Order: sequence, then C-alpha cells, then structure tokens
Amino acid sequence: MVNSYHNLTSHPPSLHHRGIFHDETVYPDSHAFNPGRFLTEDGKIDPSVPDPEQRVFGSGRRLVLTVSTKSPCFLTGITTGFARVDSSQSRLCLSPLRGFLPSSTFYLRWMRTGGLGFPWRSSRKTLSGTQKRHIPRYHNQSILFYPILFEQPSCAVRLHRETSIREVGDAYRGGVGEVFIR
Amino acid sequence: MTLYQGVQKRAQAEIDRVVGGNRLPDFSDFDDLPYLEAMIKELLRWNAPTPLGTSHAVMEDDVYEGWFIPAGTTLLENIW
Repeated sequence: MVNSYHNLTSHPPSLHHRGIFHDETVYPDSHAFNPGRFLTEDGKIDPSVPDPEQRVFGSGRRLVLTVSTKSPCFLTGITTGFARVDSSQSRLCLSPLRGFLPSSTFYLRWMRTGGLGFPWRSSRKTLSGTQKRHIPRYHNQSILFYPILFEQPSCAVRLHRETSIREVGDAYRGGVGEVFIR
Repeated sequence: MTLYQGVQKRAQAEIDRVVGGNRLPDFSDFDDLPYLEAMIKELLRWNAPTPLGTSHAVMEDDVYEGWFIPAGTTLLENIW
C-alpha cells in the first residue's frame, strides 16, 4: 500500500519525480556542464558536493567494481587522451599524423556503426549474424565503457550509503567473511 | 568535449602544467589534477550512461519514508 494505492509485486514503482543528478537542490543549474561545481574556490575537490561516482556505477550490492573515477580505465584513458589530442596546447600529439587523422565527424559516424566497417556505408546491414551480436550498443554519451556487473547474494558486505566503490572492492577482494562498512 | 571546448582546454592546460608535455600522465599525477577529476565527475553527473542505474529487488518487505515496498519489488534508481 502506497498512499492508499496498492502496489503490485513485480511492478517497478516510480518513486522519483526528479532525478538524483539533476536535483537542483544538490546540483544548482544542473543542466549546465560545469566541472567547477565539484571544486572549491581554491581549485581543490570539494568534498561537500555529492560524488556522482557513488551512484552512477550502481549502489547497494550490485556495483560496477572495476570502473570508478579513480580507476585506471578512467584516469589514464581520459588524461592520456587529453594529453595526446590534437591541440595547440599539447606537444605530445604525433605530429606526422596531424592533418591525416580522420575528423571528429568520421569518428562519430564510425562509432555509430559500432566501430566496424566504413562509416560512409551502412555497414551494419552487411554484417553477418555473429558480427551483429558483437556490436556494442553505444549510448550517445561522452564516456564509453563496458561495465562488469557482479551479483553476490551471499556477499556479506553491508553497505552504507556513503561507502565508496573502492572500499567495497577492497573488502570484497580481500575475501573477508563478514564486512560491515559504516 | 566538443560542446564545451573551454572545459577541455582548461583540463588540457592542467595536464600540461602537471605533466610537462614530455611524457604521458601516470598514477602519481592524479592527485595533482583536481580539475580533471571534477570534469570526470561532471561528465558522469551531467549525462549518466545509465539513467536508471542498476535495478534492484527488495528481498523482504520494507517501509521507506512511509512507502510500503513489498518483497520482490523491482526498484529502479533514477539517477538521472
């Protein structure tokens, strides 16, 4: 019973009228892309702003353990990419390739084909059935990654809302029988 | 990053300042890259890859803030 309405089992209840990441009380002007909201005035990470890492990789007992913003996947990927990207501020770009690298439009269309084939043709239609199944379904997002979910009904890690993914991972990989993180 | 090139330039400038442009960044540099970390967080927040998070099921009856949630209910977390 929810507010005198019956809530049938196996029906997902829609409890949220607003999302978490676009909650204006937590993230003002939430639709603007503004990394400064996570920084204090002197340019340090502001710990009082809720970390989206706590939510975006799942919460509770099912988490994406191998991916976190502190993981090699994110940090080396993004920093290395930024350090190498063709820009006047970077000196690490492979200069002989400048001018010969495909344009961003090429990459975008290439990604749309699942990273296979030529973007100027609809290569998805020409793939065999096996290949089709292996085309990753990219979202149109800035970050692409393959989440590795794990589900351990017997996992004895009891989570607090503020528990970081890294703590859970350490506890889980440590093979501790009963871990209660508060 | 295509849409917010100012952010990208600032993050790049931070990397260039910390790393120096003669090598690639490694783990010891990450503590010195707060703007980059903030940018990654903002990236995750602004357009989360999975807007409904990961679904969970309630194993036993629960009452949360006055809402009765019967056992077995699938819960979708709206992290959007």
